[in-house]
Amino acid sequence: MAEAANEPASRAGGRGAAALGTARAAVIAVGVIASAAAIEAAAAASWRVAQGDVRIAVPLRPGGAFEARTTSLAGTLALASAQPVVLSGELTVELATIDTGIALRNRHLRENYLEVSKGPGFDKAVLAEIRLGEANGEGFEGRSGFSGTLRLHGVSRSVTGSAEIRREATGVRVAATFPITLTDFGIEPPQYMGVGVANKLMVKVVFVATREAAR
Amino acid sequence: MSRHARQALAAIGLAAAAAAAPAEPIFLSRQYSRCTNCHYSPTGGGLLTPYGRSLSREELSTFGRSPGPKPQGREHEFLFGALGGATGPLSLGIDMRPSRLRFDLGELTTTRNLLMNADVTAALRHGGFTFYGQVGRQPRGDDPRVASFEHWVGYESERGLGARVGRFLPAYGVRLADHTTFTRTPLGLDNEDQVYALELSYRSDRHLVQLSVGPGLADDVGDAERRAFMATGRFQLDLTPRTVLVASGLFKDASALDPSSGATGLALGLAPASRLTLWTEADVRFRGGSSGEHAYAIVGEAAFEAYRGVWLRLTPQLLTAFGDTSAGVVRVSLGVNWLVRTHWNVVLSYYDDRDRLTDDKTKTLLAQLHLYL
Repeated sequence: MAEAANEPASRAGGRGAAALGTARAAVIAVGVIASAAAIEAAAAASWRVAQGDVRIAVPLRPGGAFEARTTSLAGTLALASAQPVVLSGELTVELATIDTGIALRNRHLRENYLEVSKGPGFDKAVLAEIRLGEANGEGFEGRSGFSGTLRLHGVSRSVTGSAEIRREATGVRVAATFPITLTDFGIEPPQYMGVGVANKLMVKVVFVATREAAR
Repeated sequence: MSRHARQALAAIGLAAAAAAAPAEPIFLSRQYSRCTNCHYSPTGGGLLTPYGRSLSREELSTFGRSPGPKPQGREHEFLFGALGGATGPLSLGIDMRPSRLRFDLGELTTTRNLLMNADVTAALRHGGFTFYGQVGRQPRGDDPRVASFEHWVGYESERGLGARVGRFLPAYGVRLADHTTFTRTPLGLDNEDQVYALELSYRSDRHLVQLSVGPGLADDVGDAERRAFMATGRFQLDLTPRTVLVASGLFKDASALDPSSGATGLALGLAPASRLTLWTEADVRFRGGSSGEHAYAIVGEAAFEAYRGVWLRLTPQLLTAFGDTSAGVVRVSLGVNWLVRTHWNVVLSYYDDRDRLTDDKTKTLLAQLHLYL
């Protein structure tokens, strides 16, 4: 009876064990696949950016414009997904290095508007979670739209723009442009003695990313 | 003294005696491509805005800069801030240029001291409107004259559409600081040759369009024989914050005494470095009754800031005669602009002019103390 009583249980137990085995196998399989993917990802080369040319076109009110520049662009990017291209890692710009061509304007920019002295979150602009919509694979060349998350002035916002990617002997040359809206990042458009700055600025970034050895 | 020498003397004396405009296209190297960043007038020169005053102190003068990280005191304000905030929203300025002029015509050398100009200017800006007026003393030959040489009312919308009416210098080419430049004086756009006109304008981040129409030169409006319709147009394209292209046109209708005349020109400004500005302007002049007989003016200016506030200028120029490109005058001008302290500058200019037909030479040395109080 007990046996009889247990039989279903036993059969049930057997089915359960089988199910458990299947699940275990599935978990293992997933684990293997995940490990393989992780290994593949780990094996994929990363791309290092040591310097760049960052130019921000700043329209003036009542007219004209000036260009703020820095070469302090750095970071490491790696291919997290090939189709579409998703890049892990980030690019950073030291905001205190931005030069507007005029010392007083530099001081105002850093102290009154970017507030770089507030430290982490304010001293750097960080672009991460970069996706290249029309790019496919690491060997892509050409023009693609892109999106990313820009952290600036303690605020993270999505930005979108376009990028031109070209292969060079030393690495990959990237020229990207994207607009930013100051008030999106909690920055009031600068005003000084009747001369102001437009709310919407255009950022142009050019850099060469060099391939780092596979980890 | 020969007739030619007398004419040259008169021309130089008149030209030098006219008031010089303090517009500074050399500051393109600081990425200022528009006059209105620092001046109330859309065509530059004249009264500085509060921003322009502050800039001249903090960024342009050799010794005016505030010692700390932020501007201090009122040195950049009217009369160095002596009135405190008593003038409220009214901007005031006093502009004086005591000068010493020496010219050498070979057979004649003459030295002359003069007060180029002494002006009081006021401006009020409110809600897009600008009210601007100037009263000053300017020598015209040996006959000083006190009058209001510039007065106008302007409006500009948030979208960049503007209108101005009154007496002002119309927009044409590049308003180089030296008003005797061959792209200014021969066109009748010397400093004191303002027009009565209506000006319409449009500005965007990269473009500036200015069109003016009116009854002509202000001094001729009351003279039925000289009065003549006049129109100007100027288009500026900012290729980059340091590269500017300007196209201009001017037409003056015939009067009872003079045939119609005009000019068209192109100018390019380039600032390859933060201390170097290069301007080039080429104009073609024409006049009624001389079809095909044009005259040409080509001016280049290289300005280099050798030390903070010390600008060295080299300005080669060519002006041809109507219908004879081998005639005319070649000028090489050298200069130093020292922006010593907030609102007082020293300007030294040397001109070497050579008549291309007669080879007659004229050398002129001009020293100015520019007080902009």
